[in-house]
Amino acid sequence: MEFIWIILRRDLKSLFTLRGKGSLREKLGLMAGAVVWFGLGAVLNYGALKMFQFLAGSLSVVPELRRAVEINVLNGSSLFVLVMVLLMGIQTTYKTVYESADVGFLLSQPVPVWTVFGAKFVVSFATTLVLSILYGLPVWIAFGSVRGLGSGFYFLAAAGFVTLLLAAHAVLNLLLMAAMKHLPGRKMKQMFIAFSAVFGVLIVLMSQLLSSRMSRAGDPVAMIEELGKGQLSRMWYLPSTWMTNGILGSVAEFGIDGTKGWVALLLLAAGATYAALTLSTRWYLSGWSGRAEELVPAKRKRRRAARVTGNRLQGVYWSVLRKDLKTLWRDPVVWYTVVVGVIGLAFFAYNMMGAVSQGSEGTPGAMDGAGAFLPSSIMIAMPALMGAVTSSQTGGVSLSREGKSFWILRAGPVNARSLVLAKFTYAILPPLAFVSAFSVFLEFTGLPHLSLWLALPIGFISSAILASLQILLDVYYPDFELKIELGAGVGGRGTGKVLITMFSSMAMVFLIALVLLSPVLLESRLGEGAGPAVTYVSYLVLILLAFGMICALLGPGTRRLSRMLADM
Amino acid sequence: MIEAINLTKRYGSLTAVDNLSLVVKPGEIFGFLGPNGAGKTTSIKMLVGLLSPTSGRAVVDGIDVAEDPVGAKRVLGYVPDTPEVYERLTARELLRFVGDLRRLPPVETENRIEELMALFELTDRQDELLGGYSHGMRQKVCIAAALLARPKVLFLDEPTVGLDPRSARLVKDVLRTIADDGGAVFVSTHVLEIAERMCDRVGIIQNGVLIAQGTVAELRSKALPGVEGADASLEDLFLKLTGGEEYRELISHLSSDRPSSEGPSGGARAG
Repeated sequence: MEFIWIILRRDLKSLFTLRGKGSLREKLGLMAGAVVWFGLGAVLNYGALKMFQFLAGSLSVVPELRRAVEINVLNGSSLFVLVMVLLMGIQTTYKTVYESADVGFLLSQPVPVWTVFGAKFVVSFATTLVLSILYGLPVWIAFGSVRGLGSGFYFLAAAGFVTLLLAAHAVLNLLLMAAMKHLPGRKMKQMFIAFSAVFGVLIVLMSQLLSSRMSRAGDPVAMIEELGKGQLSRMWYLPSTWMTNGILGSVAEFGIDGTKGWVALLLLAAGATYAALTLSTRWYLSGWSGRAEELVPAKRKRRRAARVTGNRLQGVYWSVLRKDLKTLWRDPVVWYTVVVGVIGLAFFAYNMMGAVSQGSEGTPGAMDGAGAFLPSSIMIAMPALMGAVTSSQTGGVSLSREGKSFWILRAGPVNARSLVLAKFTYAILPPLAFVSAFSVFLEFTGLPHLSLWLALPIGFISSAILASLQILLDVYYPDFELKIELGAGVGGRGTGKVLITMFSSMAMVFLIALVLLSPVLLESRLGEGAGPAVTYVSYLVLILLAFGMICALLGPGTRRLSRMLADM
Repeated sequence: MIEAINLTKRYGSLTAVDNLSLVVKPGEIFGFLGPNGAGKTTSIKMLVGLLSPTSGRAVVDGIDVAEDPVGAKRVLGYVPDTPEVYERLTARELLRFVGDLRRLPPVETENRIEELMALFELTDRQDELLGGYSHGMRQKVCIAAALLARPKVLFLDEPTVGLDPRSARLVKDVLRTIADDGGAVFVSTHVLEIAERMCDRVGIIQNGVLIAQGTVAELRSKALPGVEGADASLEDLFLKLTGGEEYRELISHLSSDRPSSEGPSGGARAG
């Protein structure tokens, strides 16, 4: 245990000691992260508080139904936390336990292997705890607040979450250790990516389905019925249910015996942790040392690659674009974001169709007048948004994603303008593909939309604005340490960079939507007759915005990149 | 073919490279030696056009690197000190990419890839992703990428680090062939044996200043005038010029102070 503390003390010291040139930036980043973290928790808490207050008011005459709904909500949030641990924890744990830069050094020291694993176990658990508890505890705090429960309840809720997360984390580590020992490292990474992606997609699918059903339910009573349909509390075999029962055992009104839940949860947490620490003596070293093993690919793949010859487009633009697209196909993170984007867009269309069929008596379809702009503008903005989110992780940060291999471009006969255009093309593809595909899709639905001859140019202009913004951001604030995909490197840096790109793109989508909506927004002020004129002005504004962004990209942006190519 | 004219690079108050002037002629292999942090990589980066000098000029094949960086990069090949490559490309794809950047005819690129992969014994692995390559294999791919377009001028920063003796020998032979064909090769290395055997001339840099340059024989006669030619190795010269001899006493002291497996208190002490 002494060795674990020595290692942890060093980790804690490096975490809290902010020195050097970047200290102010790091401190600000840390503070911003804390503000976002607490802010998100406060939002979740507020939303849950409103919901529990609503339940208390509307179901005061049927306390059984109120309790049933509350159990479902609480159990659902606990289950969500459990899933989040599996989704995010697997990545955090892998990076901390197997890819921390200091593991090799620590294992070379005269300390037992299990102590190195133990220290990394604690660090990854703490990280997972901080990330995951945010999704569950605020709901319980809201519940306790509405029910007027004492401080003992909050203590039990916090203890319950810590124990649940410890159990899940220990089980995860056991599985990871077993898999790392018996499977080659790189194959493992691919498996984790697929595993995480499947869970992520399932969560998106479930949340979208739930929100769709809720939004279609219409009135609050129907929404409660939808919530009541959940049978989460009957899932006795889930540790999240043990936790829920354990905590609710302290609330007399629910009449639940919480002892069994606590015993089961504590036994699982202690047993799995003990097993992980014990087995690490035999499994950890071989798993860690085999993390970078690679299987020799099948001969079939080689033959296919060897056939690719003949004439092809050359020069900086085409070769960089081809290289980026080639690596794109091999990046599971991209597929995950694309699938999530498509699901989100599909449910958006589904919800809109529901709203149109319920509320509109008119004949929806292709409309070019000012009156059609409210929904039809959103029909452009939504796919542009989804595309921008996707390109925030791909083309939008593709210069940063050159990483340490950027020297290959810098040492070659590469002019900055061709490189900028190649990156711009790469960045414009996702929003353009999303907007075009969605516009074509809308042609076959009854949803209000702009006709294709208008939707496609507007989509192209919007996509160009977004791509220019993203590439400009990437040229001015590159992060060549950026690592998005799982197992790509130590620490998985760059989340902040991606988030900045994503939020900036979202803000730009908002601005584009505002410009497109201006005919509707200004209609009351300018009168109906001004509609067509304002519409044309809004197009002109959009074109000017695109022109300005592209000029900024090809002017200052290119000059900046040119300097980067020559001096870094 | 390679000319550095008063090249200087300053980072604030630190002068990384100070008034570096040298010439490498066609058909010559120039060895660039120096202790860690002496300014070797900074010098090479300025010569290649990856770093702007604070003052001075770099000229490659008659092209001013600052004035026409793209033109200069078209005639040179460069191997960095660390072989960072696109992990999601195969070796063949990376070489195709380099060939396309340099607008080599595709058929020529393919033929050249086959040649180089065979030369570096990577033919069987050329369609595997580079992410699975060892350090040495990546190093070979970087050297192959530099050689792909048959550059007139070649810069290599520690090219033999991570290579097995057989591959290191191969690299030496390849560089000799390039020089014999009229190319100019600029190579920085820590391996003095390589510099001594392979290079026509060497330059020694310390604290950013080129303290000596010439053939090994010339340096030997200047730095160690009392020592007979064959008795003084390049290592002796290097240590003499860079002040490394003072460390020998410290090293011998350290070796006598080594702790035993019993722990620090049980360490045997040499007299």
